[in-house]
Amino acid sequence: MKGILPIIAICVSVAPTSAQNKADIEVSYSYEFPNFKTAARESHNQYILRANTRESRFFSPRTEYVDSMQSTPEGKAKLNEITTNAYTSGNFDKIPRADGSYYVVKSATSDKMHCYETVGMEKLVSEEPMPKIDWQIGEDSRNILGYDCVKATTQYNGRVWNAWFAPDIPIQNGPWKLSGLPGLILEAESADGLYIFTATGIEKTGKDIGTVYLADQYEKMNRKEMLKAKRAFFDNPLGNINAQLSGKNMKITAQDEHGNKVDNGKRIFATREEVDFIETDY
Amino acid sequence: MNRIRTALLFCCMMAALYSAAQVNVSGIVVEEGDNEPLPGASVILRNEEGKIKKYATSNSKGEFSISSPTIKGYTIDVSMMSFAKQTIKLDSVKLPLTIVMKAAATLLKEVAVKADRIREQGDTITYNVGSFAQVQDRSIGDVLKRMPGIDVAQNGKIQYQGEDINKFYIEGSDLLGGKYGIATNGINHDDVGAVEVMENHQPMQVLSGISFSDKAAINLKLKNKAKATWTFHGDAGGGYSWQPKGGIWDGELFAMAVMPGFQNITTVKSNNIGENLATQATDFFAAIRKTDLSRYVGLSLPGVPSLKQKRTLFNRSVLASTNSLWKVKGGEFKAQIDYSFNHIKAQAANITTYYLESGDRVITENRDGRDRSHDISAKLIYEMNQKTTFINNSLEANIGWDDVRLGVTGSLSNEQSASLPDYYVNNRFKMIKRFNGKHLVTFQSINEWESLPQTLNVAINGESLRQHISDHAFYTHESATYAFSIKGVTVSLEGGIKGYLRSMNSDYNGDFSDSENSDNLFTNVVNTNYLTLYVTPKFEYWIKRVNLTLNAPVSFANYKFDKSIANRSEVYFSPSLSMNWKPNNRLSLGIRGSTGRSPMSLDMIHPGYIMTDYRTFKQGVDNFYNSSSQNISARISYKHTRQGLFANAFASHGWSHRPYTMVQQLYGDYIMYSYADAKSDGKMFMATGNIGKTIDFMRGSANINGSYSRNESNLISEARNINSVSTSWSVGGKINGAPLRWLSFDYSIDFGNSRLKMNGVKNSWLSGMENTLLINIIPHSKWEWHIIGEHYRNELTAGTYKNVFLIDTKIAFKLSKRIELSANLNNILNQRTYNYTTYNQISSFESQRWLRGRELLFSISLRK
Repeated sequence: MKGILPIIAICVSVAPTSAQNKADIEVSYSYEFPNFKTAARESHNQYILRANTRESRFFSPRTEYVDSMQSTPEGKAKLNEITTNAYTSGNFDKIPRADGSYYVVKSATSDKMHCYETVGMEKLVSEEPMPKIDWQIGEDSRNILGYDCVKATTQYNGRVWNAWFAPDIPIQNGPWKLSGLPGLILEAESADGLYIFTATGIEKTGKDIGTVYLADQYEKMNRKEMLKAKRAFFDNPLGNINAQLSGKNMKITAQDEHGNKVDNGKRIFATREEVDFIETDY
Repeated sequence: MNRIRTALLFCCMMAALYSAAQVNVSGIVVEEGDNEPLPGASVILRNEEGKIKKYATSNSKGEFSISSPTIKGYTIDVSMMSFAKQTIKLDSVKLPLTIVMKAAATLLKEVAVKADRIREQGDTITYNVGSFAQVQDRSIGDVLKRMPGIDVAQNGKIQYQGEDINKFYIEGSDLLGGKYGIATNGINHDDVGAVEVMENHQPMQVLSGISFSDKAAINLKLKNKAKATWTFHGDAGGGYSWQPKGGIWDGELFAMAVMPGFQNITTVKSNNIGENLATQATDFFAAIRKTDLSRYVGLSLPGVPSLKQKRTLFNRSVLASTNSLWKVKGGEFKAQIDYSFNHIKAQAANITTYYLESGDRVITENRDGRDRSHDISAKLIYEMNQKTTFINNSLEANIGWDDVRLGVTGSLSNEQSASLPDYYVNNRFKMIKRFNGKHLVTFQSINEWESLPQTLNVAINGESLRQHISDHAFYTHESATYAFSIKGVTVSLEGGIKGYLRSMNSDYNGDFSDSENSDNLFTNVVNTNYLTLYVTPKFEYWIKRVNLTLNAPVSFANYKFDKSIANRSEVYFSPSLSMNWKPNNRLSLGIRGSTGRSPMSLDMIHPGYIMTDYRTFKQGVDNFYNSSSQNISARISYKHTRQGLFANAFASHGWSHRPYTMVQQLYGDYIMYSYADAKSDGKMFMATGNIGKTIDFMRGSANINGSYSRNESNLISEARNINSVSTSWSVGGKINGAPLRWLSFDYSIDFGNSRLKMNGVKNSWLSGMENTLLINIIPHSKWEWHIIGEHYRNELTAGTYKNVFLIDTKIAFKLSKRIELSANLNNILNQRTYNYTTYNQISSFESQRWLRGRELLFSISLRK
């Protein structure tokens, strides 16, 4: 009998948390973002938002797949191989978890938002209180995926965002870090049209919201420092990588599309002036 | 309640403070019943036109507060997931508000979240069903066929990467065992969310980490709507057929319950449109019956190879099956009951040519037959599958009646009828216990009993001949195994005893029996009993990516034949070695080799002749023989799930050495088979390959396959040794997809070629080709139009081809989500005959067969 009591105690204490972590809905978004090499608007990938009233996790199913593999030693070895190959060949599009693949975990319960991102070869996480975004609700309305959506506008972390939310879906959440409207955001577009999130599917679900794989491996950093680190990497990717690999007696060089070696001094990514990140207030 | 009161008070104060310039709309959101505050509720303030003016969210205490210059004509909406939305007119209420939310499902207009079509995690590959399904698909089997890497046979049997699966689960429970064809042909694909393939699946938890499995299992993950409830669907159709003339029907009722502690699948089906339902209840995992009885009487109806069964089968079929699973303390209890009825009619005109040294011998036959069979089986299973204990007991009874009638006109007119019942019972018990994580003890007990009486009546030349055989056997097998495992090496030793008692009697009354010694020549009283003691040491090395298994069974057997032939004692040793290597998650390689000696089949022991059909008599061996055989095989499979690419190849070579050879002798129109003391060596080689790939841009997939086989065997015919080599190869391809929103298609092509060589004389290659194209047009979301075209091109003799075109069409109208109406018009061109030629060991066989003619069928489908 002695053994049973602690088990019951654990069940009782675990049950409410696990109930909270069940999502109510799962929403898929297509995310359009600029190509950081050419500054053209041509890249896109899929994101999933799993949310209930209080908690949410926004992730790329592709990234999650890669990360889930990385949580086993064999998968990790394979992934490192792909990443290294991609860098070696200068084929930056093939790097798993290239720019744009982040996790955003929001919790109204703890009033915290975590954004996990991989910058170059570093894994970084920022923690901040749930943003109190000051949305201006407009007059326009539009139908997205069968829902009447209302337009709202705000300025957030350096960019002006136009969002369309559905008052009929009482989840005050949205793609990426966007939230705080009285209904789910089904579309959000930066005013310059560089960044666009569009809902492509919505389902009720009983799935766990889930956690970020290997979350303890991310280095904590303040949001703006993280952006600066990312900029530093984009301005001199090879220098950054080689600095990190120097201890391992490795050197990475880049090739252009004709296979010619690119001078380490030459830019690989476009400048900040040509194309900037989704947040520009750094 | 105190807290709420304080909060209200606070809100009132705040309201008072701002009342000069602003109206403060504040309140608390609570749950109906217990008045618990609800945090996270969405509160929207709208003006008289319904425009959103302000909004808020209830905080952790359920409170909200919105200030507005005016609230005249305003309303507030309070909503939250899983609660009914509340709309309150602010003109007539007192502030602050207490909003009581009633639990209710929030209705969402769902738009499927499209996941990747195939995902991989560890050893599990997940296929998204929705992304492979096409409009014409009904059952989950239809969709499985489109998933690269997976192959589904007509009867529902599934292969993954060219190998049979070893388990079929529904939501993790093994309800149907090997009869999963009922599920693949029955479960509506719309109820299934995902198909998981678990590679290297070890179904017995006690063996996990100890014993390697190179087989894969399939698990169906149902959608939420199909869980914890009964789902039903049914079809009823009726119509008219031009050949055979008359009414046709096709009906099905399928019910499924998948609940946490209980599962059930019950289905009733019937048709006379060419679908043989008995095969759908086949147990694909059934162990070979060790009672080892096989029918001597071989009376089979003419069939049509290489043509789809629905074109050629003149049937009336019924299948009823009910399968239940209860989760009981620590285990599962399962009960499965099946009944099938099949009535088949067949007609054929045959010309059989025997190539003999003395010149070809031609026999013409017109055959007209019918086969009526009933089959009842019941199975009760208890299984406990835990990490340290595995217990399984299954009790099975199977009763079948098969009555065949076959009339032949031609050079030997006759009328044959056979009564072929079968009674079979078995009980299998297995218990495995794991100690200290590394030690395993297994006990197994198998008991089987079977009776297989056979009666053949032949009316020929005004005479009535009768062959009767009574044959029954009891088999028992008791064994114990001890195994231990250290650092990836498992060593086990199995020891046991097998006992077998069989008695066979046969008698024949016919013209031959008038002659002298007839009692000896046409009567058999045979007992074939044995007792075997055996040990099987097994060595298994399993480190990370390599598995090496060595099996070395040694047995001592004592045979008692009760004077039919001399008693014998024998020692057998049949070692086998296999290796599997998985250098990475994508690639897997395996090789296997075995060699051994085994006794001949005991049913070959009968000194007297047995009539197996109206012109064939067989006599058994007069000596005890052992044969030896060797086999080597290799397998390779590759997959790249992100790209949806699956490929596999298999090759096998076998040799057999027999000290006896079958002898064929013709006496007039009669054929006598017996065995001679002459060496007979056989050789067999086969190779198959298969590549599958998803084609994402049109939600489709493609597949290419090929096979080659070569068989060499020996026979003595008319006192002359005949060495025959049959060679065949085939290639095929499939592609399907939905290139446009209103159009999808399925196309397949198969081409085969075969040749027979006898004593070095080569016959010509004969080819066969089959093309099938199915096009679906969806002019409107409620309408579907299918057009199916089939083309067969068969080489009758070298350079002479027979072409057959068949066209079907179907129009379906979706009245609602639950009701669909459809009209089928099959074989529009009303093709009624089909010709072909095949070769067996030393004869050719030319035939004309009848096809199902044009048929019109109207159906209604309902689902819940």
